[in-house]
Amino acid sequence: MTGGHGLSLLIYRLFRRLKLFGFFMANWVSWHCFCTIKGHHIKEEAMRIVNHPILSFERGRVITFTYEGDVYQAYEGDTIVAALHANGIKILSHSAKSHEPRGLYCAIGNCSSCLMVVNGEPDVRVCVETLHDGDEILVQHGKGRFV
Amino acid sequence: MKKVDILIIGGGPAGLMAAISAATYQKSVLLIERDMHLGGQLVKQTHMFFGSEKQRASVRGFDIAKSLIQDILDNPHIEVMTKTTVTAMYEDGVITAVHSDGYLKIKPLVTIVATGAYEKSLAFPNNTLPGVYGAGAVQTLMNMHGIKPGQSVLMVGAGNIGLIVSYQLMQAGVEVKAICDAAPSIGGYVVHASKVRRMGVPIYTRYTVKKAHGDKVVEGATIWQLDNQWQPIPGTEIDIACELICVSVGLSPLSELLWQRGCEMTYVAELGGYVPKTSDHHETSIANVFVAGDVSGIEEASSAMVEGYLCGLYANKKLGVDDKDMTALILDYQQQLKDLRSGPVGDKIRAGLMRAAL
Repeated sequence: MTGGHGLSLLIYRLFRRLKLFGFFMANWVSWHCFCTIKGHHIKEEAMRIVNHPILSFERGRVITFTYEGDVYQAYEGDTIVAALHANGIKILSHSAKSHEPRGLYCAIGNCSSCLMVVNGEPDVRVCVETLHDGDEILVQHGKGRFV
Repeated sequence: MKKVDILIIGGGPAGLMAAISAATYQKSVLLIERDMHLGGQLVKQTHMFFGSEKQRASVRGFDIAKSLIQDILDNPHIEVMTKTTVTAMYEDGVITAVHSDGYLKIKPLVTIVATGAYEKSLAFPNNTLPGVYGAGAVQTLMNMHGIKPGQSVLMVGAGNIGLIVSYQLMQAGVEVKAICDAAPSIGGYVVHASKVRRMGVPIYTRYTVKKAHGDKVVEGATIWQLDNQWQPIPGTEIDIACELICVSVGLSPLSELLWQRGCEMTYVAELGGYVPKTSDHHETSIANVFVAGDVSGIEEASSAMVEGYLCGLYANKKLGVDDKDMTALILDYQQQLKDLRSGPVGDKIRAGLMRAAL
């Protein structure tokens, strides 16, 4: 999955840096990337609940983010952890001593199992943080460090 | 330094109701919530509530939350701060909090702590694998964000939460492979158990998790039977392929702030762990610090709401409000609480509360 994303990611980042083009262009590029990368839509459809007997879900506009450098899409209003799960991603951090993968546990900002590096900032409780367009999300390894 | 009459910590069912009743007599009320929205666990409850009409029976939890939150936002005496975490309660009555703009000092006359509870975990090999989630987390993902936490699940715990969340998982299109519980019988209400059984989900009582399987994420679990001494019986293993292990083994009060403030605490198993000792007016051993909801003993949302409402009134009484209507209201709500805790289901709660009395 990672290999195919290299070029798309490069274009995506390039366009994000070119502020003149604004986020419309960046969005177009990310859309383009998504249309060309198979798999994302399939995962997305598989994990999002579409028909529910009691609830209906209002989803905001489509936004994009990266996880470990790969580009994904989500909806405005998603928490970071919701956006990751919608894309089938469960591994959020690695433990400090045994380096084992860790995921969500409480989803109310209490257990610290979901700490990730968001836009360079470590120890972000991604279960209670809203995702923003262009966020760069990284798996946190052990204790958080500011680069 | 921010000065308020009544500070409420926690915007769940207890805190919401506390804010509403606290503001009845024109006192200034500050409601602090660490999450980005009010409502606590109410906002993810899709089932209809029990109790009587006064406790909004047969209304779904998220609809109750919606109407309470609207009442609070419309109330000019209540200030709401979300995404704000109370970090300390000092001996001189100063309370500090952190939010995105920085650090805040608050000096309330009365504080109502309604911080709720956190989910317990269960010890078994590989219980840290991504895919082992608390039942509340599963509800957050699927009922608030509309995302399936996985395609198939083993539910651990056959109490009310385990049974209700199993049913909600099925409503979301997730396959519930089985429900297991170490206890010899189903802990939840028969009505909930029958609902999931009718859908063909096996409930294994006296079974616990032997091990979770998976390299990087959960791929399955092995459960095994327990004997009368709660010891596992080799040879009774059942392998279950699932993407998710949902742990619903109870809650513990989130009482760190009370410990820090020096409230007298006591361990009461029936109430979920360490709870503050309280007067019959929900006041802790520290004057002007009141508690409402799960932080003073694990029950359910209906009693948390009634307790919250009562606490808001007690806080006003403490501040010198003397009103005939208030006395009647207090009597009414005390009776409601009594009714909610009546009958065999309330035995444990009643016994527990006796032991937590100041």
